[in-house]
Amino acid sequence: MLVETGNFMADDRAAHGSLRSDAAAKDDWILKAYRELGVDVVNVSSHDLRYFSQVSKRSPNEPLLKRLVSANIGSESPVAQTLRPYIIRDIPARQAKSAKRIRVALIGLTETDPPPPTGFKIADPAEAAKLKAIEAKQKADVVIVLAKVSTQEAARIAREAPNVDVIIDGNGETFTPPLYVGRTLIVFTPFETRMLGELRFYRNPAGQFSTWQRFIALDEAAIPEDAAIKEFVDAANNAEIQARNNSKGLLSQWLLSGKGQTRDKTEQSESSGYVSSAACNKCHIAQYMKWLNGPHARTANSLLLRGAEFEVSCLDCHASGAKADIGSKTQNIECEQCHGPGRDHVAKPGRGYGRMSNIQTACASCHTNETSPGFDVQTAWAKIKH
Amino acid sequence: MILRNGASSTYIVPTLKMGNQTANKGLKLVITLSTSVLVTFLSLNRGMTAAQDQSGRMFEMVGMNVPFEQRTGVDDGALFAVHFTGDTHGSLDPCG
Repeated sequence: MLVETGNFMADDRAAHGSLRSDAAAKDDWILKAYRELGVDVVNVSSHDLRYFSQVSKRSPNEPLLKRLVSANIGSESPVAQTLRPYIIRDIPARQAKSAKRIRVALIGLTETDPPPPTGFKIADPAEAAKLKAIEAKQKADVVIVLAKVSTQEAARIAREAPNVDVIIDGNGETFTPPLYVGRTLIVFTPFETRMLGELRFYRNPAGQFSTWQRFIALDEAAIPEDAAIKEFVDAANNAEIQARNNSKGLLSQWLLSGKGQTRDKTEQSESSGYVSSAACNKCHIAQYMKWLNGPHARTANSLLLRGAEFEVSCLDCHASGAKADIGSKTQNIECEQCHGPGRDHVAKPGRGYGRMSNIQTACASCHTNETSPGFDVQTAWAKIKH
Repeated sequence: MILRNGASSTYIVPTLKMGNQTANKGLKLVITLSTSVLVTFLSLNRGMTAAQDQSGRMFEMVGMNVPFEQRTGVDDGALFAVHFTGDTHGSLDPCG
């Protein structure tokens, strides 16, 4: 049986905490590798959760989802519903046909950092282990916890959940020898899987289990090159690079749409109803100057520094214009972001255009807890009032 | 309940038969592992004990001097074995 204790997915975050597109592209290949390798049970750590929350939405039938465990990640969202607290594996007896099968329960636990994505919560791992181990013990001969926690946390879990027989823990340390806390054996995954851990189980005539631990060096020099694997790894690397290049290309495309292609841009903008702040400037000079010297006239600057993680969705809050129409987007947050498309108003100026019924709602679409922690609409409005 | 395991400790580490560069790497590995074992034992909390029995054996480390195809060892009649990995993410990033 091959199991994973977690922290195997890339978790590089974009500016506002979402998973970067190049990390997600890489993770798609890691997922494929785990699926094809036939990894039996996978503990979802807090570092892997963000990616799996995406997968469960876009590929709910992904076979690896059925092998995920976590006893302390909770949510109302679909991904948490696919996370079982434990999985029981039936292992056929090796000797006489009459010998009983061995039932092994594998419980998943994760540390609480980094914080989970919105909509998820991570409960205390020892508390979850205590509850689920009692249940699993009634169904299985051996209860194993797969954990991504520190050594001290693993020891606490062992103390508080005595029904756990073995904890296999990824503690992030270079190498920690196996140890016992009470009667619970704790073994640790070697740093970054540079050695493969092996835990052998034996049973004496009295029916008692014992174990033996082995750690197998996985030095690259000793592993013969495999053409199929190399092709797989190359394809994964290319996908990651391609995702980054796509982001940079999209950013360039958007920037170019506002520079050197002014005529096309104007035509595209007008067709979508947006005319840009330059049009407002012709009559509303004071308001235009207020905007020009405020933060909304510079929202594109931060995008230029993060080209590799750029996505079209960044423009929803860093530019104005029709959604999903990159060519019509302005270069910053402009007047029409709040007041609406101004083409008709420019064609026939008059009262009634651009009145806002609810400033709070307009601001809240972009200034969320995630993007603008501590944002206060009254304080912000005082700075840009016009 | 799992009985505590036993017999004497087995460390199979790179030997000086290898080239100088590899031998140096081997020595570094021995020093690193010895240090980490020592540090871990010194930092163990009350209530933790090393996983060893009367004869002192804790685990087997199959090192780089064993041909790769032999590292999985021999079938000693175990009921089953669990192979485990973790924190693999770091190994999937390019170094440097």
